[in-house]
Amino acid sequence: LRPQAVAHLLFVIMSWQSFETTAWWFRLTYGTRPFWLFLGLTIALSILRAAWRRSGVRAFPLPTAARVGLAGLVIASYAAVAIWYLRLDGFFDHAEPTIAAVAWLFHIGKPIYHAADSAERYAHIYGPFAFMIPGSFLAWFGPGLVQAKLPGTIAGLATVVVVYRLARSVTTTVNALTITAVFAIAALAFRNLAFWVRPDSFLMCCAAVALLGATGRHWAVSGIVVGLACGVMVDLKLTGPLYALPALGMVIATHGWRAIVLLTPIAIATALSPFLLFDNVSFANFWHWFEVSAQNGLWFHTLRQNVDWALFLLVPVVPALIARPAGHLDRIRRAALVGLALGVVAVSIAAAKPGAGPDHMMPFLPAAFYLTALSLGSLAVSVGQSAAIRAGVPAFVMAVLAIALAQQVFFITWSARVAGLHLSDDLAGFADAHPGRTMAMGFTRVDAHLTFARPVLVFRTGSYPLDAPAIQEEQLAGLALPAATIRAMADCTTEFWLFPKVDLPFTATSIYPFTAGDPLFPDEFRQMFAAHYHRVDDTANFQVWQCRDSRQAFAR
Amino acid sequence: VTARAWRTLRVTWWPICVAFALVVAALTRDRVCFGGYHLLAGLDQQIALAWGVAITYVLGHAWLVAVYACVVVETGDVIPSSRAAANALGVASWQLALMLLVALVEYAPAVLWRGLARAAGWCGL
Repeated sequence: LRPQAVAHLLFVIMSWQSFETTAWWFRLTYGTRPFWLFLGLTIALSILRAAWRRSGVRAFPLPTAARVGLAGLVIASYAAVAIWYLRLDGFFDHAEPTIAAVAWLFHIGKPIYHAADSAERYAHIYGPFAFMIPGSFLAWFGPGLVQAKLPGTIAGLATVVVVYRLARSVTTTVNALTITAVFAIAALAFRNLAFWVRPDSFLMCCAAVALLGATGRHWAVSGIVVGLACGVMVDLKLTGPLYALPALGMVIATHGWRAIVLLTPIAIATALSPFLLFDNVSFANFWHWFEVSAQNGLWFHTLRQNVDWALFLLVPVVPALIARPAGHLDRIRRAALVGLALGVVAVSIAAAKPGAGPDHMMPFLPAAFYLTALSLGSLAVSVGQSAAIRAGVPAFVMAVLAIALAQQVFFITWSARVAGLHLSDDLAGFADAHPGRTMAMGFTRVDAHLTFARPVLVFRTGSYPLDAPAIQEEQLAGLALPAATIRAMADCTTEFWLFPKVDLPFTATSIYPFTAGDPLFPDEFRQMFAAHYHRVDDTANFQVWQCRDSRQAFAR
Repeated sequence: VTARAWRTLRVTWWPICVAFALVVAALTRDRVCFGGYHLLAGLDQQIALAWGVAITYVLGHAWLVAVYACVVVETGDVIPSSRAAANALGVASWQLALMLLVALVEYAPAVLWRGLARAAGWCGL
């Protein structure tokens, strides 16, 4: 206990505001070193347990009903947070609005990956399914922030169901519920990526479905399910198949190589299908943006955090090392262990890319907890009753719970505060007052979160000229804004630009490590903007700039 | 399987430990002398070198995790007694000790190394 920790603990008692501050501090201090937090808690609990035993007081086991109740409460809390966020007006993460905006562009036939010299700047290295899945939801249910968030929420909730099904296939109902509950807490420790509309939520869902497919009795069913899941995962992120390694190992262990022969063409066909079936999904452009991003080097500070999270993620897998399940389950156990270890090692390195990080470990959670479930029924009694397990299990749960709680306090308070600004209503009101006119969101140095409602404008106009995260990625790779983008300013391609109120237009700076603080928009671009636009109005949250050469005068 | 794993670990120790020690020394120097955020500045943007460093760093940890996993498998206990662990250990104890020493350097708080650096007058502290 450091003095700072004691001080924060006292603050917690004093007010909610400081509880929020404490959550923020804990996230940054201990939330980035979960393995060491786990080790510390294990030692502390071992000492406490020894003292407890010396005192002569007998330990009381948690009744089954209480275990089931607690597990149900945790799973319900996970679902409640996911659904609460779905209904909220706005996004929390910077990648979500980008995905929602590009998803709509895909739906209306515009390219997911524009050309290198295009005036628009919104292409990312996520695979096409990252945009096509939310794009389909927008097509089915109409444009809207809730509709854009819906696939992420469904993926997050479906993953919990699949994890329960996986655990139940190898252990009792009560154990399966308990493991699903711990999985839900662990998922909430990863910044809510489990249900955000980002590739990560879909990846984890696909990884879980692949595991379920791998446990199938018939080799052809396993091959088809795992093949489809692998194909989708490649098209979410190029590192996607690494998350399928445990499932692939299990397929080989259960059904042999004939299932691999079947699933390989299915995976390849699935991965190629968006590029072959849709004119607005260009493989050449996708590959160009991937190559650009691949030149961005690695960030060793992140690498150290990745390794810490990787070690933490492997903790629930330890009992699987010595479990001896009967028959083919033992082959599955060994294959899944090897696949998981290889995947975790590879992702630890790949996720050291600037802008990535330990969150990339999240899709391994279903495999890790499946292995835990697998080992539960076949551990020797002496091991199950050992001091290491009796201290280690609660220490793991406490560590993951502490990190998840800190994440959720920060997430819920911040999201609720931003939702209170009614950003989408503000933007929709402006768009309604100016029907048929072109408008887009611009970016400023402060209040970047206010721009997160920008898909509202994209839904109305079908145009998304600039995406700050995409420009930031290009800048990191040393790419300057192309002449066409600057010319578009002079041509007033977009009549209205809206910016968060408190800062000057296009003053946004990079938050990536190598280029931190560098302006995203060069002087030439800003001068062009200043020469051709003037401020005409303010909405509740945004300043409005109109093209000076606009034929239609500004009207409120 | 475990015998093969031990043999692999014994052989791979030589390249992995040496490279891991170099990487950890470089990272620790940067953590102590320049702060913990931007480590190995310059090298991190040279793709081949950066990936080499990252692979080495992860393999160093993987080697230690693999030793632990093999001991657990051989003893059948998640935290075996020191005697059982010593009996099960399939690599030379000095190999493990050196690897643990490197890990200790990596995970010891930077403030400790900063104090040492200040006392020794290194990197302008």
